Amino acid sequence: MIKKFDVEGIVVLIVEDDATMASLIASIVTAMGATSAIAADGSEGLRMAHERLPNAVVCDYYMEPVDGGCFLAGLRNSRIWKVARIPVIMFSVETDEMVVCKLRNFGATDYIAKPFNPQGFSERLYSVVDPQPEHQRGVGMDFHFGAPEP
Amino acid sequence: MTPLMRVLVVEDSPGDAELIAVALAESPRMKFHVSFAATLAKALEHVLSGVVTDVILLDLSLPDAFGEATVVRMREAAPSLPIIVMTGLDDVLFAERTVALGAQDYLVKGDFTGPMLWRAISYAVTRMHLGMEREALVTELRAAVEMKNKMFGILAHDLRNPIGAVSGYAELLEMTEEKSLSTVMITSLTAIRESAAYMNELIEEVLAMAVTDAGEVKIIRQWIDLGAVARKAVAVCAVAAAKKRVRLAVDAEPVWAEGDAVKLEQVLNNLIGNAIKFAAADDVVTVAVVEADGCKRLSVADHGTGISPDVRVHLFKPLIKGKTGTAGERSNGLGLYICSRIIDAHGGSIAVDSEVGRGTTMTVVLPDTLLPPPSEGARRNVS
Repeated sequence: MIKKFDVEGIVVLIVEDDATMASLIASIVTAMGATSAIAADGSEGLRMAHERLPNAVVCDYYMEPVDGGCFLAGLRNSRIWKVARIPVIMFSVETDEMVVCKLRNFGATDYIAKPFNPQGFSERLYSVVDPQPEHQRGVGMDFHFGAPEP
Repeated sequence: MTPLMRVLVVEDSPGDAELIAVALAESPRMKFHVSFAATLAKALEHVLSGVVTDVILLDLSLPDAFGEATVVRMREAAPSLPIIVMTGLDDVLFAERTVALGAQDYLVKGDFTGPMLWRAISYAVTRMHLGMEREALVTELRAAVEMKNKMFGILAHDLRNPIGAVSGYAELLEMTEEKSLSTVMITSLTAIRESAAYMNELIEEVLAMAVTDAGEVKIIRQWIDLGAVARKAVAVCAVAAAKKRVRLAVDAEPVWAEGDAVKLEQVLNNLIGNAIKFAAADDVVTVAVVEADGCKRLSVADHGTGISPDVRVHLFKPLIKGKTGTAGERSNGLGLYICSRIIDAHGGSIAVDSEVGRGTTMTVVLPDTLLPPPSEGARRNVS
């Protein structure tokens, strides 16, 4: 079963250049009881992350022209504290361990390999979202922040 | 018309050069056009200036070059020209070395007749042409294979996305709209999802084959507990087994071996998957890990339909499709081929023992390696 969020008003930003995939993820997010916003590449994603302050971002790795890695780096280095701390789930067809490792070091909160099943996806998304109100978000949740582990 | 052969004689002794010219002039079948160079520098100049040359007769004691280096430098300047070494040194080992360096033949001065020289020249030119042709073909073939593998990779990568969307949408519909869907709709959705899953599996294996075919299978060697690998593989296959009401039994003690845990798990998943495919309901598939006679054995045994001898012969060959499973599972003919490549890369072997109607046991034997047992830290890393 699709995992549902316990609170209302959760916003999930989807950064994905493949429209079909983006709308599938949007459907899952809707089924989870949250609102979705879609950005078609990394640069649009960064702009929307600053505008909408989503509770979580799910982001594709391979995108043109600005890919998921650049998006992630941009987000984690944002001067806006609340933006830099947004949990990000990266997903990709890539299963190469080096890429996955690199994304984790860049500060990805989680990584999902395509193809994924909706149920598993909803569970992973549920587990990264911080359900606290916006002004408290991130407090005590340092593992969301993307400092590379030694 | 007699064919014309343009010969460059690289020889600093005027007497020897003259003898060669006379020997070549006597040829009744072939007409030789002879040019001379007294030093290697002159010879290189001649070749590089674009004068058409068919063959080089090369002395190895020139004023500006001596021995093997003469052959090497000549080859570098004109890699497509056949070289026949002519020297006063009658040394078999040295002759072999110059041929290994790219000379087509080795003649000892004063030891050959005119007809021998004509033949040597004629054969050297023919061999060189054949060699070049073969080399060009091999290069072309390599490029084609590389291209094919790259295409496979790109195709497989690009197909994962749309197939993921197909199965994702089907599953989403099943989950969210379950109550409003008719039985026919649900059956159709299940069929869509399963077909997509099959396609995805195929893609994974084609990708794996493209990778293994492109070169050696890369093995990350670590000390691993094969028992743990087996238990993990069984856990992964549990869902598929439950679906067919097949019971998975593990009989695995900790057996430490040197190998690639991920790749070996892939092999076990495949073997267990096959066993489940051909098992009937309530069958038991046993996965065992034992150490005996210095060898580590991983085995997967089922009591399924068994494999007939004619199928067994082709079991580990690529793209030879196997039988359909007991529940209509399809085969893409890649799984066992990939398994055998992985086991080969481990220096091990994979064997099949099967009897129609009685069942099949697949056994992987990994060699005992000479590395010391893992330290405590390494053990912790793996488990």
